[in-house]
Amino acid sequence: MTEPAGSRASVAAEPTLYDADGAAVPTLHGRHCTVCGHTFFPPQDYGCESCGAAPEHLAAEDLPGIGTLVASAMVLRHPRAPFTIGTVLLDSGPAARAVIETPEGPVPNGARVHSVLVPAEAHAGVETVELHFASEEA
Amino acid sequence: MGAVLADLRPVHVVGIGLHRYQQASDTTFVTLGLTAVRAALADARVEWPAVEAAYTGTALLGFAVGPTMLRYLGTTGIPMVQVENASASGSTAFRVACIDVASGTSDVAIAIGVDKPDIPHLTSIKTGVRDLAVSRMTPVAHFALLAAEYMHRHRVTPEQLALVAVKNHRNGSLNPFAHRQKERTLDDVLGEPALAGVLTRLQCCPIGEGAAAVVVASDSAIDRLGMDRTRSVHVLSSVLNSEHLCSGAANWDAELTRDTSRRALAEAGVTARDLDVIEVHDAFSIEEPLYLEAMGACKEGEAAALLSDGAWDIGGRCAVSPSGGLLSMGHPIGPTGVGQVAEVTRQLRGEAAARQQPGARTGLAHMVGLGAVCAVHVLQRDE
Repeated sequence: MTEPAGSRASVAAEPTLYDADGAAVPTLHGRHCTVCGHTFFPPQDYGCESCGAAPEHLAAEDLPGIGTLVASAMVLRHPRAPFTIGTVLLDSGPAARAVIETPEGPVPNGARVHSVLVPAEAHAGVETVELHFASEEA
Repeated sequence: MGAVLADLRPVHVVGIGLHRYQQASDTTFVTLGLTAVRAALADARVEWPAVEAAYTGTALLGFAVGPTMLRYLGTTGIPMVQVENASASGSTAFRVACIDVASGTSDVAIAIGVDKPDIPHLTSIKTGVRDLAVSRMTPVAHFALLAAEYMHRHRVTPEQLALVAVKNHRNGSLNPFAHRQKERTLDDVLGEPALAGVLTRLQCCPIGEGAAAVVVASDSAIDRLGMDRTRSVHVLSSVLNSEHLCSGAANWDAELTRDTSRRALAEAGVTARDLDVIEVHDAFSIEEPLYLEAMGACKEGEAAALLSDGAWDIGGRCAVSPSGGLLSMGHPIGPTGVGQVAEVTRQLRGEAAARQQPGARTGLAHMVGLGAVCAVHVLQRDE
């Protein structure tokens, strides 16, 4: 995958999961099943886990990066620790596990959160960005 | 719907054996496994040639573990099958051995669990399906999230959760086969830094090496081979489920246990309140209250308070993980589910010495595995 045309030199660390096109609240790339209506994230094109429909019945669906934090926990034993991981119930239905930004301390369970792109690393002027979630209060 | 175990001929646990669970050592898997198998045969008072099929639960060792190990008991030409089902590999080997005997295909079968620590080849990584934080979503991070959600919902404190580890280390300190055999105070458990969320090291299971073996037999084999019927334990039910799709942020770990244990208890004709002993998959402390509630051993949100009251202690209303559970007895993967059956059997025989739950008659063994899968067996003392 290449960076979106017209953007600054930033690329998504996981381009199949979200765009790095500079949107204020980045959209997640989900799927929905045209047979049973099941909406899911992360995307896959093997078959519907709900009804078993074949790949041709799985359609791309952009999921707004807005939801509610179900729970979060700080991870202290990991090569990239410390960071906070959280379960976000997206308003569109699926739950996503992602890093939670905590610039002002822990985000309480039940808080409204939205997606943000966070620089992960930079090489030769190209910045790689990861999709995290942050409190709407922050 | 096909037959369940209770529809087939009765199957009994007649022999149990273990090699201690321990940190990785120079001991070969052959020595680990043969130690457990020979102990189980001696306990059953049968010779190896009486065993008609061998099912070896292992997740990390590689190809052909059974024949490579069991040939040193004397080759007898019996069918040998390796069973891999992640953390439930041993439980699944036990289930297959039970079905083999219950169906009439074999009269005597053995379930073995053996493993040594290695890097698991996780197929989920090979699917090509990407996720946002997959490299950061370690098992302890996953269960720290479940702990955070549970503690918030039921107003449970980190201290209450840590008491699971205190109880299970106390039980494990009495178990000569346990990986961790040291009693721990609440200060010990909470005195170390957390790995993730509220989960400290002693609230996470040790993964080492070990082995466990269980011999199962039909009524006719017990009579024919002159085994001691007063020490046999009836396998009332065996249920193995894989996960249903859960919507949104539902706790699929708990839902899978709920479905599996509901079926296993119904097939056994008992309720969760009838259980005297439960061996729970407590790889992390939070799993014990989650699964006890999902099984119906108590109401939602009450497991932590009941723990504080001693309800789950040996001598309490139901002894939960009297072996020490995964937290203290350990989780060497392949052996774990077989070791649970060994502990439940020992309890129902009344042979658990200092760990004995008084009057134990009915017990349940519960394992979950990556996938996710869940195996539940209900056993009862033969009257």
